[in-house]
Formats: sequence, structure tokens, C-alpha cells
Amino acid sequence: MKVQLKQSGGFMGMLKECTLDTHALEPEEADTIRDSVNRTDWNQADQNSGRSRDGYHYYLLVEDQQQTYSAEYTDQTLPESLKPLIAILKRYLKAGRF
Amino acid sequence: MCNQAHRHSIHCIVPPYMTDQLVRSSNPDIRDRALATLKISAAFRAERKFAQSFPSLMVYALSAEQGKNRVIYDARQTDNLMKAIVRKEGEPAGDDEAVNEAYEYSGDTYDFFEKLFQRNSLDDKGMTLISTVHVAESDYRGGYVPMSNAFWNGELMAYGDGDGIIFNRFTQSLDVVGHELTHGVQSFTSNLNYYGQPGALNEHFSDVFGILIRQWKTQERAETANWTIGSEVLVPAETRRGIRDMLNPGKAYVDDPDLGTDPQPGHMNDLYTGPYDNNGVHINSGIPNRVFALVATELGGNAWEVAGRIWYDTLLQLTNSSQFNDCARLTIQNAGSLFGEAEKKVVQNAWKTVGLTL
Repeated sequence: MKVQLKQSGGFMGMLKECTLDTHALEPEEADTIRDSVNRTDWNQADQNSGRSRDGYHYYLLVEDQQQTYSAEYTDQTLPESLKPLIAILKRYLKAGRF
Repeated sequence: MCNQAHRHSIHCIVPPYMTDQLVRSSNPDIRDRALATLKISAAFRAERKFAQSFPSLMVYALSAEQGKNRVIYDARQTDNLMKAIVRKEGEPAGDDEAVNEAYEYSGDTYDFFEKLFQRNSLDDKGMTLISTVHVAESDYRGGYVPMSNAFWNGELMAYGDGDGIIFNRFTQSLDVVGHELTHGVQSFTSNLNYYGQPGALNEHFSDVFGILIRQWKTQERAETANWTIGSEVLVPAETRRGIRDMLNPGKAYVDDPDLGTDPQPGHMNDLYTGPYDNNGVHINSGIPNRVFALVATELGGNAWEVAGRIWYDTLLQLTNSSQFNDCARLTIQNAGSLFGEAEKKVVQNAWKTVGLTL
């Protein structure tokens, strides 16, 4: 499974990104990512920041052999099921270019 | 706790079974004190139940019709923004620097808006300024890592301690605290949409008043002032000077191994039109930021007196869908009506410099 995260916003407003293949990760991280993806209702994506300012905005792309999922979320709308996945991917984020 | 200098009666409640016993005492003094304690306890329990159900309403209620009223929460390295109140208005400083900074700097922000623009807090009705420090983000194992960010959630300001590698704690910077609180002011005034040009103006006004609060506090003159936002928040390195540079957008950090290069444009020709960052709210704010810094440095003296006044009045006149053109038109108009032709010309020229001619 391939997962890509682009994170923008925050006080800094910078773009950060990473692309990971679960085969290259530690088994615990790979299992957590797969579990997060499978537990998520991808039809419920919501990119509304609401009244929050300087929060993060997440652009997520997941590809496996059967399906491709893509969705946008904010800190306010990120579903519980995706929080472990985002927490893992955040550790691998590097500065990106707009 | 009862021996501390800042004793509060509700923190010293004796166990209920003891009070019940004392109420039946034959000694009238003991009986009266026990009855008083019972009343306080009942009031405290009602207050606590209300606070647990409606935490934000609780602090609003405490602020009713008062002037400056600050409440500082400690998230204690979790993402619970209302985990524990650690300091309230009038209470003395403690050992926690983040708590002290959040308290002092939110007070400075209140004083700035009150003294210069006669604005009574964010809503102009004495709203409590709530700050939460030591905010963390959850990791995937059920633990937490310190947050490298500060944000306004619509009700309160939240500050992380940073990772210690790139970011320091966010309360260290007065202009960051002023920036976040100005988001609050905006939510009760123009309420600029957080997307595209209105969103970039939203970020711009937060940067403007964030930096003005600092310049006002330290009595910096515009022509010699540091126009960098959030320099204290970054761990020092040769490749980074701050988070944004209002006078020189795009130059706050250059070829930094962790941050890359500051993406802010300083001219309409370089306006970002891509999808990220809500269509570039933190990116395109560089354009009006440069206008403000050019106006302030050209006018010289105290930026909060002339440029600040023009921008504050403009903030009150903008609508939630206002574009850069609207901001330009109103700032030029306000410069003329508030101060005169010379000031109007300075504002007009600054907008022209960034590629906006009306």
C-alpha cells in the first residue's frame, strides 16, 4: 500500500509532504496504517476549517492493489480512524514546494 | 493548598461527612461555619458541574461586564484544551514560563486594543481571553508529542511547546500571541472567509496587529523596526530569521534544510493560485503585509498611530468576501479621510508597488 500526505497551513503556512510504501515500514506502523485505511469511511471527507485559524489541512492519497482513496481534511474534520495514520506520516514529513 | 498565599475557599472544602457532623454541633460558632461551608460547597459543585458541561460558557460567564479577564489552561502535553485552569486574572506569576507568557502577552494584546482603539477585548464586550499552553498532538501509540504550532480554535488560543529542534514554544513570541488573538477580533468584525484572497487578508490583519502590539510594547519606531514575525519561535540558524518577513516577503528563511524557502510573494505577479493552504492564505498574505510595512516605514514614527489606525478602521469595514482590491480601496480612502492627502498618497504608492493600481 502506498500512502501520500501533503500537509499545509499551521501558523507557519508551509507545505510538507511524504510518500511511503507500507512494505518499507516497521510491521507495527504498516499494520496501523492498513487498519486506519480500512476503518475509514472515505465518503465522509470534509475540508471545512470552521472557525479555526492556523490549523492544519491534510491532503491524503492512498493506493493499494484494489482501490485508490483520496480525501482532504482539517484538524477539525479529521476522523478518529485516520488519526493514527496521520500521526505516523507526520514523522516522515519534509518541506515541500508550492 | 490551604497554606498557600493565594488561598481560595473552594479549594479548602472539608469532607462532606465532617461538615454534616459539624452542622449538628452544640457550639453555635462551629455550626454557623459548617453551614456556611455547606452553602459554599453546594455553589462550588453547581459551578463545577456547569463548567464541565459548558467550559467555554463558564469563562464567558466569569467575564461578564468586566474589563481585562484572562484565563490560562494547561493541556499538560495532551490535546485536551481545557484540562486544567492554572492561572486566572489577578493571580500572580508562577514558575511555568509558558503560562506567564500567555498571561502577560494576552494582557498586552488586550491593553493595545483597549488603549489605542477603545476596544474592550475580542468582541468589544469584555470577552475572556482564554489561552491553553503545553498543547500536544497524539501519536499513533496513544501517547503525545509536543505541538509545533499555535492556533485559534474559534474560542481560545492554543500553543504548543515546539519540537526543540526547529521550533521553540510558541508563547515566547508576543507577535504570535497578538496574531492569534487578532483572529479572535476578526471573528467579531470583518470575519474574512478563510480561503483565497479573503483568507490571505485574514492572515494579513493578524500579522499586522501582531507586529504592532510588539512594536507598541517595545516602543519600536517603524523605520528601524524588525518586521519579522515569530523570530523567537524558531530555533536560531543561519538560514532562518523568522516565520514571515513583512517588509521582505519570501526572505524569512532561505534554503533552510528543514523549512525550505519562504514561499511568500511580494507582488501580484507572483500571486499563488494553487490549492494548498486554503488557496494560499499564509502565502499571499505577503503581498498586503509588504504594503503595510512600506506604508509604516515611509510614514516613519510609531506605526500603530497612523498606519495602525488606517488598518484598524479598514478591518471594521471589510466584509467576509473582501478581496485585495477592496482592502486597497478602503485603506487609501481611510488614509485620506483620517489623516490627509500626504498619507493617502503613501498608501496609494505602496499598493502600486505590489502591483495593485486602483
